[in-house]
Amino acid sequence: MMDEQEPKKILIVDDDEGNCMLLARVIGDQGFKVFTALNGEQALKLVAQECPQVCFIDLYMSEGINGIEILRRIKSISRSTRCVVLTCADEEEKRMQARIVGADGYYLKPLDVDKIRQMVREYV
Amino acid sequence: MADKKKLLIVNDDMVADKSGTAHLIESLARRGIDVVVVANVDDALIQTKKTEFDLIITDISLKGDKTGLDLIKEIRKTDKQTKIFVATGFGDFYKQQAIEAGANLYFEKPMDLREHILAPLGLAEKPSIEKKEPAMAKSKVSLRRTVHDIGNKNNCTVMVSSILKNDVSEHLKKQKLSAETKELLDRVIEDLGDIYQAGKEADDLLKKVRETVYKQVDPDKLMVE
Repeated sequence: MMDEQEPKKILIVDDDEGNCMLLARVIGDQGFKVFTALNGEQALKLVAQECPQVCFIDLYMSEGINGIEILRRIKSISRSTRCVVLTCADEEEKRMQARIVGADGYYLKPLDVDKIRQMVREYV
Repeated sequence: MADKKKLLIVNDDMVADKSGTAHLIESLARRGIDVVVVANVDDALIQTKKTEFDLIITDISLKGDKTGLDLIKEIRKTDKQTKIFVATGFGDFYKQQAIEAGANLYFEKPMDLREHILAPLGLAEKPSIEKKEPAMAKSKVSLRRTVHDIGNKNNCTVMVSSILKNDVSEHLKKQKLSAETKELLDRVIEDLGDIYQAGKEADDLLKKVRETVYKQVDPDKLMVE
């Protein structure tokens, strides 16, 4: 017997471990099942394994595949996954690239508790 | 200045998404591309009669009873030159038919700005600075990475101070505490507020640094595998 509905799965992709853990904590406190990935390879593996409903993706990754490419690949393997881009810099071209490859939203860092909750309300 | 490139996009979802499409049209216009977006084959044919497009990107499934394949066949009756790409969500199902009808390229959505629009229109980025000036590029990328890392650490400061402030405030509301502890926690909240504010101000300063550093070199072009 299913006693409760499965919590929604959220994936956070950020090359900074501190940012990843803090974001995971605030989102996890709201009752979601949170996964974290520090690079594109980990992110794509988790998307294939866990099929998260929403991904929050840092646009700039210090190593490996960049955020736009991660987003494009996530959308190509799981079109229904909502992808929200997180970035420190508000650059028009990046917004456009993100939109073209299928971003559902775009949030500027730094994030605080209120902003994270707003983001979750809007996209999860 | 070179003539603007002309792009026709045939996609009913994009016509429905007015604000998103307006944003895309405006952004592409800044890159020297005039974009027309229509939702069905008949409107697309009206456009191709009025304008000589450099590139046409069509969906297979469209509003009305005609498909992207019908559009390609109709255009190819009189025009063998214009590049026509098919963007689809159907995998390779219609690939053979699209190519036989005269499509130059068949690809799975989502569209990629560089690969499917800029490069075919001859507007792809110039060779990266890495190829022209490797040492300079290396130092710029290293500088950008440092700015990125400082930004990340600062984000942590903002986030952790806001989380702690929130936690302590909740704790204060729920617990019966001595006046001394309450006073101490109030001071902690105030201090955390100061740390949070300092982090936000540091971020404003970092924004100015990013504006300069990120403009000089786009790290993505050097980092994509």
